[in-house]
Amino acid sequence: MRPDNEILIDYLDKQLNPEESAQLESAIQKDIVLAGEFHYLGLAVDTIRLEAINRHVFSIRQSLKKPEIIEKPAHAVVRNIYRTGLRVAAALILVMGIAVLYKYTSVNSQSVYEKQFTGYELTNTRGQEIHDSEEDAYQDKKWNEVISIYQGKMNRSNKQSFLAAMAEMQLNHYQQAIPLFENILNLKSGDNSYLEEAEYFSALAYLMNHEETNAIRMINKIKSNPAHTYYPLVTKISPIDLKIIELKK
Amino acid sequence: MYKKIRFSDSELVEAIRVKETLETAILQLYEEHAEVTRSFIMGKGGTEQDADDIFQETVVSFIDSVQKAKFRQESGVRTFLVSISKNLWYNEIRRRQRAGNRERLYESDQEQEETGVSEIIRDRELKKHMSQLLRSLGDSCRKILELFYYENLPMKEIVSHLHYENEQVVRNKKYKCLQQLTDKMKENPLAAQQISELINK
Repeated sequence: MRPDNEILIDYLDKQLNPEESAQLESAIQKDIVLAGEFHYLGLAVDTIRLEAINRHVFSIRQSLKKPEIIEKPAHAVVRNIYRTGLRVAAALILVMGIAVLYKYTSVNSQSVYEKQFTGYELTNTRGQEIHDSEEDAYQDKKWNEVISIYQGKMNRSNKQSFLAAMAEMQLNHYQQAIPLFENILNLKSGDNSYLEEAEYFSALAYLMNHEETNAIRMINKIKSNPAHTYYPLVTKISPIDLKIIELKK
Repeated sequence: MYKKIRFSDSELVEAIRVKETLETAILQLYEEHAEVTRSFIMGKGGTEQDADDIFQETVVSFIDSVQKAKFRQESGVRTFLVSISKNLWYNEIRRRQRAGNRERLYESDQEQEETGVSEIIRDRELKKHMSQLLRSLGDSCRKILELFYYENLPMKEIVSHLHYENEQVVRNKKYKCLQQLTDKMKENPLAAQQISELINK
């Protein structure tokens, strides 16, 4: 590029100081070639500006355009049925999606526990000649007393361990209830009483103690045995609910 | 509740001169004056597309006249716009007839031009040729020149907009693009004639 043009461009871009500008203006007046160059540059800048305005106006023109109305084809009825079918399918998918989402968010260990847990009712022993103070406390729903009596005993039967565990459950002490249930489940005493009760309620204690794997294992064990006392109760827990609990752990 | 800004004619002219209000002004031009032009052109054998194209050209020419202070408000904005549109359409009819177009086009009632309109019509062909030359430079040149000369952005901002290395690279590119454009213009007879007239004024 010739130096003259650089000065002319600087002049157009208002980069020259007043003195330089005045000198150049004087030179343009006297020099036809320089004047020609200057006018070409002016025309170029004018073209750039006009093209930009044109693009600006065009974009506004486009934004004001009304959307075109698409004419219905000859086989519109068939298409309408197809469209209606698609809409119904979409609505069903949406409803199913919402149901799945609701199920996923609403099912957890707590909700299953609340549905499944009912306090264990002792059969009436008050008429018996030999009274057990722990059983009496249990009957009277004195949960802390049940635990205290249980802890003071040296020889503990499965029944006593179970009642103490259930007293802990009533006090929401799931962590403390679990080893008491496990004492029964380990069968160390050779006593098989309260085994099925311990299996069912230990599953619930595991759920509330965030030991989901143990809980599910125990529930599935009961489910596999239709003769189990608590089989009717565990079948009410849906496999989907168990899967959700497993996924959420 | 939102209230639309409505400029009077003199406010509209002022709004066209200011970058921040230009878009609102263009919208008003379309909302208030496009329909008149459309009715006229479609009544004279033009299509909807013709009417839209002519009105766009009218608006661009009007903005150019206002920004160069050539529109002196001797007539109202609508009168001026309609005059430009009519003359642009008559011009287009003549061009098509020369090109052998057999469509039925009407030219019988050409009206008196408003002040400044004749210049717009006269420069029409030149402007079209020059725009084509600018477009032939490619997008990178067009963008850099538009950001500098239309958006008036400083070099620093152009660097960040177009992701160039530094301001010097942009400056060199801008010089080069502008020189390319003037070189192409020098080869165009219409441009040469225009420049010759300007020098001999």
